[in-house]
Amino acid sequence: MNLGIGQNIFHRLDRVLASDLYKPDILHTIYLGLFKYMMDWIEAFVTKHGRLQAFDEHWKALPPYPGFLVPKKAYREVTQWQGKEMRNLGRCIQGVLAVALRQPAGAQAIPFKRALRCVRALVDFNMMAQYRSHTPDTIAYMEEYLDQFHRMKDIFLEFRVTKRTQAKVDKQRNEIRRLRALMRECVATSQRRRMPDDNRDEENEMRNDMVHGLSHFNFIKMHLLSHFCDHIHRFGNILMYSTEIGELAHKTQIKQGWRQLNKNDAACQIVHSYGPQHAIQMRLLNLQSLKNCGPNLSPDVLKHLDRTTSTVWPPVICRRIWKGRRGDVSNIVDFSRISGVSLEIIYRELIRYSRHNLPIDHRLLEDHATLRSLPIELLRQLEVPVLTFQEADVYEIHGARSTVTLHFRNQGSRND
Amino acid sequence: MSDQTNFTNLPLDKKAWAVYFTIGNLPLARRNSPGSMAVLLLPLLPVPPKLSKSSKADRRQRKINADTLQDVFELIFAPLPDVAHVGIPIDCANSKVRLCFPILSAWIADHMENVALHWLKTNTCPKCEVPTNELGTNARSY
Repeated sequence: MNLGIGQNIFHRLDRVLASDLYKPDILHTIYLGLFKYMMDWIEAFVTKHGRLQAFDEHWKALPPYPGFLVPKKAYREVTQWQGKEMRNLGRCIQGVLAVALRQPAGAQAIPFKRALRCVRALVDFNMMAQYRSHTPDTIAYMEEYLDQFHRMKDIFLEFRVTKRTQAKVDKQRNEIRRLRALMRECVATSQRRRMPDDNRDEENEMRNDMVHGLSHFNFIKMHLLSHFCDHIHRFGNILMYSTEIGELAHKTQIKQGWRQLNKNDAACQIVHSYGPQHAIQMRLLNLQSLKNCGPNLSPDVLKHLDRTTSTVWPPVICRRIWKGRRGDVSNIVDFSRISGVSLEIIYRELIRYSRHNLPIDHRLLEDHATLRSLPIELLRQLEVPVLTFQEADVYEIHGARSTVTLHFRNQGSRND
Repeated sequence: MSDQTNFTNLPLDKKAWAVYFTIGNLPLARRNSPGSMAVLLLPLLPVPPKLSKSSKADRRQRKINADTLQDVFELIFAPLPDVAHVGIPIDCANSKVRLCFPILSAWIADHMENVALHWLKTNTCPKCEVPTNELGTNARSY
């Protein structure tokens, strides 16, 4: 339904199912996705219930622990979050929130409990997703946590208000106020005093209704979680398909190359320059692992080491091809044969040229037999083979041509 | 695996769109460690310039971009179909030659990359056919 079959590049490959190529991704789906959303909700939640101060204080007061980075700033003071920091956050958010929501006042008890359970389910799900091996039990746990998260998430629904929903709510409220103002003019003064309270309650109720009706959790990262368990069942643990190795590879393979190169046609240079480095590193790793084997190496491994892995040809030396006469052209007939222009046309053009351009005493005889006997030279264009950048045996042919009386690129003469 | 990155030390908005490849039978710890040389850069894909949402010319440009991307991938995948069935002998590190069957089995990318590669709408799942208004529910029947 959602796939345009002709368009998907993966549909043309054999033994490949395009929908199975997708792999769940903890970094983007949980750390930079749901955790980020969840922190927005939590922030709004604690603000609404007046616990923001406590939340920030406890956040800053976290004690150090091996493998855990102590946050230096309060949550709201950090402007940008990295995947690593989000992972850190996942470890401590439950505790901080639980402490911040301590001793609820009467009406707050139920929302606090629900919020804590929701956050806890998500954090637990995340922790379980990082397991390196799974049993049916752990997968069942994961599904249960996910169910719980979906059951409890409604507590945060009011913080999923989009601008559009907010605008609608505001519009409706203004409408009601206008109507009420009209009504108040008709009502006696004695009754007016009681009305504002009713109004506010009613307005809040309407706002809640609208917010709950219009807001939703329908964004893609919410849904992608549901594929985690199934994926583990079929393909194994999730860490195996981490996107983080890609980010690491950027650093060594692209960004270093980019810094060292001259930014001319950068893509080609980057792709070419990393290959040799990679080969050498692989060689070093191989040698290292052989060294670890110690003296009991088999002789054919040693023989294999002496052999270069790929055959290297000696570089082909390409001589420069200078401008020169072609040997097989001596008169007009030859020229017509090679260039494919008929004799008649050549004669006609020659005569026209001589009539228009040459002084009278230099004009050609307008007689085919004489013209045919004229000596002809066919010259090659000057061709200079230039080595392709960073290649030993690939040449590009640069054709040079005469600019006659013009200077190079219409500029003054050069003295080099 | 593909991912888009910015060149950081540059004032322009230069971007690189890299495709890496790695082999599936490496152990997890080996592949994820940075010095293991497990991932190798294959090509850099062409990065189209940013387009506005509505204009008609841009929509045509968008189509051209998609077609270009498709052609590039056809080029990249060109050797795959031939060897997926019959296999290809590949040198192994321990002086042996093995018959290998290279098959594309996973594509690790974030959601926006998946959208671009699978030619999806932004708010759809790359794996199943869940309707947009049920994304937030815990529906698993698709």
